[in-house]
Amino acid sequence: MNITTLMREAISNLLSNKVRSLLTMLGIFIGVGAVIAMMSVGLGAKDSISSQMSQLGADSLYVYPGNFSESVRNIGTVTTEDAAALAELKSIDSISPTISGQQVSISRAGKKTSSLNVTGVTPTFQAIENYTMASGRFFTQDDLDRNDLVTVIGSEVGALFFETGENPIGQTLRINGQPYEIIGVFTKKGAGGMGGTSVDQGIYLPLTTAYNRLFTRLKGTLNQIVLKTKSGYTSQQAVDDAKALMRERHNILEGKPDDFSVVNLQEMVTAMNSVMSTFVLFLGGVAGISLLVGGIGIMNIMLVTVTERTREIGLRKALGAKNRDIQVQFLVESSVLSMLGGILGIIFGYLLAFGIAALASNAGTKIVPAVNLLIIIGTTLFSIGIGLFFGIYPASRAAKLDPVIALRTE
Amino acid sequence: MSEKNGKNVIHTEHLKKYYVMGDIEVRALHDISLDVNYGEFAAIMGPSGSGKSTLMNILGCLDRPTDGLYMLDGTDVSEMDDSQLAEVRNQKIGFVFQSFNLLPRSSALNNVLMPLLYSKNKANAKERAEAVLEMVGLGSRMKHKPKELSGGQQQRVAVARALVNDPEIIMADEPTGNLDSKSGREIMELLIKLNQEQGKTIIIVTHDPRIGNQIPRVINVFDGMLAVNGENTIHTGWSMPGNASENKNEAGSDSALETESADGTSNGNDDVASERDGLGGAADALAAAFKNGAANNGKEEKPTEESSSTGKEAGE
Repeated sequence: MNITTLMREAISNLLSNKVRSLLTMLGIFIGVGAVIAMMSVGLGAKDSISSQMSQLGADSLYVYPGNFSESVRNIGTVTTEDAAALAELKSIDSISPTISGQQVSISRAGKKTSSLNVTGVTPTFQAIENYTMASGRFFTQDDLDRNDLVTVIGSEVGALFFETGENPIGQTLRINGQPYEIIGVFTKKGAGGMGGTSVDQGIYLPLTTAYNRLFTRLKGTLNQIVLKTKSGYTSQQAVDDAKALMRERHNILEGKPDDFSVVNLQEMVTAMNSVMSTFVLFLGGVAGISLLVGGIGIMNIMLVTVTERTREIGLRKALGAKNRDIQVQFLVESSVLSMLGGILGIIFGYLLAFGIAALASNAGTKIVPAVNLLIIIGTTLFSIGIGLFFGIYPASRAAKLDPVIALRTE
Repeated sequence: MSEKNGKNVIHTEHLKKYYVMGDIEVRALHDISLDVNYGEFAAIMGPSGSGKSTLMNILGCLDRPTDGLYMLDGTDVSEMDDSQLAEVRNQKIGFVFQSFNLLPRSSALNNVLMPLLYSKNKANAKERAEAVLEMVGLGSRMKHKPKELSGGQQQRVAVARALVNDPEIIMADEPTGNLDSKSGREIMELLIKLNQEQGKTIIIVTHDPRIGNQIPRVINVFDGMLAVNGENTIHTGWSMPGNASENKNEAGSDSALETESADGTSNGNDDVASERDGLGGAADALAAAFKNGAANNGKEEKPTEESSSTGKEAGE
């Protein structure tokens, strides 16, 4: 018997008992649907996190004051001198030191006032953070040298203070009461980056201006230094160099914990990815249990079918069907059943995933469900496999029937 | 009989079939040695529990004998495994069942095609299936499902299915048992036609003495053994109800079946035994029945047994 004949017969047999076939499929349908929905939402979330991270630049290191993993008695400060020293390291290409303050009052003459984050940056900031300008320009060293009262704003800040069509460039914003001329607006970047507000909501000043006008009491300290690894060096080498230098500069004795942190973004991406992958697999595994239950349902129904069709099996054997033919016939039937359940489940799963993604997007988290051909093919094959596996026992029961007895059965 | 092996489509020696039920050994068949020639038309008869179904199952390669030799078409099938037997059934044997055993959801054509699904010879499958359906007179009903056909038509589909692989033997287990007498007669006529025109060996199992009586060779089974000639009154008995039907014939019914039976009586009276051999005898008897049945109608048979006295009376 060729496979098309077998498939046709299997489908016609399944159609002859539609309600039962549908109910049997339901187990696989729900199982596959759940697996697909979990996987695609999970992978979508993972993708969106890692793409955000890679926008930050995977070869970036972050130096922060304080220690995230160990308690230190005196939280050290990271200073502009530290930054200058780090910039001299042979494994470091460029650095971007920043100081930021939260809830700074921002206003525009005659308009409303908002509290926003203000960050003091150097000209390297734009390149290292990989931001582009929607209009205007970024700071130059001259702006820093002159302590100019200029600012670059994020796109949402622009939208907050200016009407659509109004050009913010050259306009004045009051930051803590002082007038700053807007010289540039960043391109909209979308969802927030790592652990902070999005660049879209940020207001940036030259580092020197920030020290002299805004954060006068924090002069010389930094919230963060972003280091770009020089090509030819691994980020781990750069981390080691930076740590050694910082320990030396901060006079930390051997055996004592660091009073600063060096974070390797690449490492974080890898760690995050592996956590997410484990999570997605775990979700898939939980959903997979329902596939198992669906498979048992298929076995159950196939056993009933074999009993019901004992006479037909006897007839087929009398007409020359070998045990193998009968076995294959029932295996094809159970696999077709689970394959159809699986295909419907895949469709259902993706509908579910896009539904969840739409809800998440409404709630502010943008997730694009991952439609992965490999997962689709894999799930289809897996559901066929389930049908095959759970069909083996009923099919071999059918195959072993004695034709004489089977023909006698009413 | 061994010298006839080349000629006999069925040759068995000391066939035994024992079942063990609990502690008791049931001897369903005990020492059956028989031969059936190519082109023979034979009936297996016997009361319930006599072992005739078991014999049929073994002859039909659905079952294996516990002991003994079974040569089918020159091949020893008594030691074959399941899948070899399946192949033998597929190629050499066509089954017709009492309850038709058609697949209800398949068309007549697809039902007939079924044996070809399991056959190595799939060439022109559809044409062959259509040809046999034409032959059984259902050319116009190929697309009909079994439930859209009458019982007689369903059984003809079953006969077509038995024929489609061009088997050596057709085994019919009570082929008329679920049919009214008219349809039953049509099926018998069809089987006779297959025997006469295509030379198919036909073995039917039947309870119906009217059918048994019209068939040139009757294999009687009692208690798992072949009935011995002299002991078995049924051997000669088949002629007498034929005489009775002869009278009915005169009373207006002139179906071929009945005519044939009457004639079988006249031609084969000396030959009627469970071991009646020879293609000539059986075929001649049937052929003669078709040719000159009417001419022989008046011929009286002297009953040889008391049991046929009713027939005698009826004849007289």
